[in-house]
Amino acid sequence: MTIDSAKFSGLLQPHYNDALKYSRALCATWSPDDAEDVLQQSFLLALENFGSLRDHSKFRSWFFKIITTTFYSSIRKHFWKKFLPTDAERSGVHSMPEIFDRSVQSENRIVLDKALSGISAKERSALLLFELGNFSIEEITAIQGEKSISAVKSRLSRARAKLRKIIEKEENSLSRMGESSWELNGDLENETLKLITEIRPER
Amino acid sequence: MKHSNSSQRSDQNGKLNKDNNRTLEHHFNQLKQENYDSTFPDIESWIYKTSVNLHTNKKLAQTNERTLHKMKNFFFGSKLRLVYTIVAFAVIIGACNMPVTQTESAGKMITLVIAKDNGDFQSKMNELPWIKNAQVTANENTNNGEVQMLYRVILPNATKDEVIAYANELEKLGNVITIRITPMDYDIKRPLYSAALHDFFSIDVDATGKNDEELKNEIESKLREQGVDMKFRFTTGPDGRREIRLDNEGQIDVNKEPKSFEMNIEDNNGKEHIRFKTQKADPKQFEGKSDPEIREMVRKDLGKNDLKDSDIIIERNGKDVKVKVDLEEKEVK
Repeated sequence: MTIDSAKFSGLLQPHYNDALKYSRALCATWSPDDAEDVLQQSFLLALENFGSLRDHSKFRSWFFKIITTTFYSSIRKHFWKKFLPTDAERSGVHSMPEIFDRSVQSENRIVLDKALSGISAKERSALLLFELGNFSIEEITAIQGEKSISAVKSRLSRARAKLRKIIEKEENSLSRMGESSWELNGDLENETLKLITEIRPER
Repeated sequence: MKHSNSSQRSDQNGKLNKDNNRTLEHHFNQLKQENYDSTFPDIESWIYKTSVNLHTNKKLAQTNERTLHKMKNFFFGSKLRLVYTIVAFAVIIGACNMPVTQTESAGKMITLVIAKDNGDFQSKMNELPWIKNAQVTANENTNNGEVQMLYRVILPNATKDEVIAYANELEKLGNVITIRITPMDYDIKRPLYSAALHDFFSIDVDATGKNDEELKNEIESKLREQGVDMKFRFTTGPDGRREIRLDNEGQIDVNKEPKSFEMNIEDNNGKEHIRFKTQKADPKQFEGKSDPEIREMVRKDLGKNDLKDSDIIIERNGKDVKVKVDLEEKEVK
């Protein structure tokens, strides 16, 4: 059976932007290449299984679920990735075009990424599905494959608390750096960004 | 007063929470402002190309992925299964190293007692052709006032039938009071894997550049080292291919040989591969079986259902059944 790519793209377009934002934020401190690998694998899985999606009105939650499970498995795959061909090579397809920004990120984004990477994958996914995907708790429960709504509720609340704590800590450390005797010449914003780039942890 | 303090604290906490929520909101708002819509046309065209490729490669990709996935998931899918796998490997290794007791034969001993005044018994015994291969000890013994000679004849390599025949020959020399055959068995402990390999050996020979005589000598010498006495004849045909024939076939009973063996000969720089294999069989397994039943057993045992009836030669001598399989397999690369 051939894949109806036109129909797939048509259903994808309204949710494309949210899906990409969700995907990028899930892989918070990962490199753009690694984040694109997750997205590419999600697209491939979605294309392969598109025929099994009967109710097209559920495309959005179906596609977000694929991104979520691909992300979970890519965390586990990290070790195997060294020995195996990439998914694209294995499927005999061309690599996806570059999408994610490779330029220096803003200070706020760096702090948020660091905070997101400080919480567990499931907590991160629940929070981002809620904030970026605008999914209800029930929908998140289904996407994450959980049985209990209350488990997702408490996961969300835990994630928020942890995220706040980390952001606060990160911002404090940044302001302390600002108070130190380092000399910043010229444009303050540019110099700060340069400094952040230098101290930003490599993934 | 206490109430007012607590209410003040709660107000402060509320204010802090609001500030914190605002911070989170602020960060998420920035995230929400990111826009990837401009990249959609590129992705759309990639999706189109990919869907065509996927359709072509779907079966191949699925097979590879599923096999790898199944293996990976089986061993590493759950921590519990990983533990089971490690335990299973440990049990297998443990089982292979577990000592098992095997009974091995060091030969057979004929014990005979004769009167001391036995005339020329000893000189007659020394003339027997097989006595050269035996170890003989003689002791003087007194029994009920009569002086006797006790001979112990140890035969390390003789079969049971041969020993019975030798005992009969000794008895015929005369004046024998008692004669007894004793098997000299001993128990040996060895790991299971070693026990499995003990009754089978394999020799590999590179025949490239060797003439027929050199090859024959090398193989016979290697087999002799393992206690197998077989004579071979090699002939090289006009096409350069070598034939192997067992020379003393009529005199050899494979079941009497100490071990089963496999011989692999690489010839003509690896272009030709000759394999010769002997397999010990339980002599009782053919008892009461008809010829078709035996042929079926042989085909099943060798895993060769295409063996013709004429390839399986069955010779019957009373209750004894001798089965010979004429199987010529040449692998030419």
